[in-house]
Amino acid sequence: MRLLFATLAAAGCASGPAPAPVRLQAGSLAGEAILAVVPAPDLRINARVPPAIELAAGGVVRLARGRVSMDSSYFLEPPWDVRPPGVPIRGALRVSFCRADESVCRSVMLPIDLQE
Amino acid sequence: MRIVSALAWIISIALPGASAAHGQLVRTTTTAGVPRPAPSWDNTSWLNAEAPVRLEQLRGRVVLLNFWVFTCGNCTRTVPSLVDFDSRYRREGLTLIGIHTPEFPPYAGEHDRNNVARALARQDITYPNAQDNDRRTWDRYAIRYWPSFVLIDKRGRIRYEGAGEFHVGDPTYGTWEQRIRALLAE
Repeated sequence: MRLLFATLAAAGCASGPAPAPVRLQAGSLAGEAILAVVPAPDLRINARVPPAIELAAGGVVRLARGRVSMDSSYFLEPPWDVRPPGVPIRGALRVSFCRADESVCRSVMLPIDLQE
Repeated sequence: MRIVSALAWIISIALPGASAAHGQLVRTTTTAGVPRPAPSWDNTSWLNAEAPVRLEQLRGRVVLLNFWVFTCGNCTRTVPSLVDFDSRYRREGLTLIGIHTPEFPPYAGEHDRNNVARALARQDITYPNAQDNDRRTWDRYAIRYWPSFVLIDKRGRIRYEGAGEFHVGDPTYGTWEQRIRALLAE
């Protein structure tokens, strides 16, 4: 998973005027297509309520795999899961996160549209 | 694979608790403002209470509202301080009330009464907690972060507000305790 983290971290820089707190990244792991949520450098993703992709076509994909902190509060690497085959990844990504220098939880919902 | 749509996050600014460009930095804060009437609440699902608790019933008592959710580490790490306040000041006139406000839709389990009950038991919380599953009370108090706090005086007026994790014995804990004691003495 460290390799995955490094690959994902190097891969996508979201364009646009304001940096997004997280981004959804498609990749592969051991030959399987996966999806992962990569946080901005100063953010931690809440592991007690893992990120979710709410598909426009219906259904929810939870990205709950990945190492977590001792108290299970935060992911220590981008949470991920296997990409469901044949399903358009279009809809909204919902993530609970905390800035490293804050003492509160925030949540964010991002529109997403990934294509093969 | 190719990302067709950049991950713009327009929706985020319309969400409670969301941040714009990560938002303003929020460390543990407490603020005092001009006293103003506390909005009433009408949550129907309560735990640790035989019947719904209403603000109108609490005139003559100091009320500390804690907006939280059991999936928020900042919230659960603050609970011991709140349990401590409750055990030390309940008999002197403090009523602690948890307003349990989910971050995610129901699929995440935060709306489930049994899950909330387990969280209360796990943390030895015996003060009343309302399920604010539709965020109605959260919105009435214009809350933005988990955890947040509102301290209401004996006349039903908001006197202090704040947000962020704190711990027994730290300066923020001391600030809240000082304010609770001051309002109890009024």
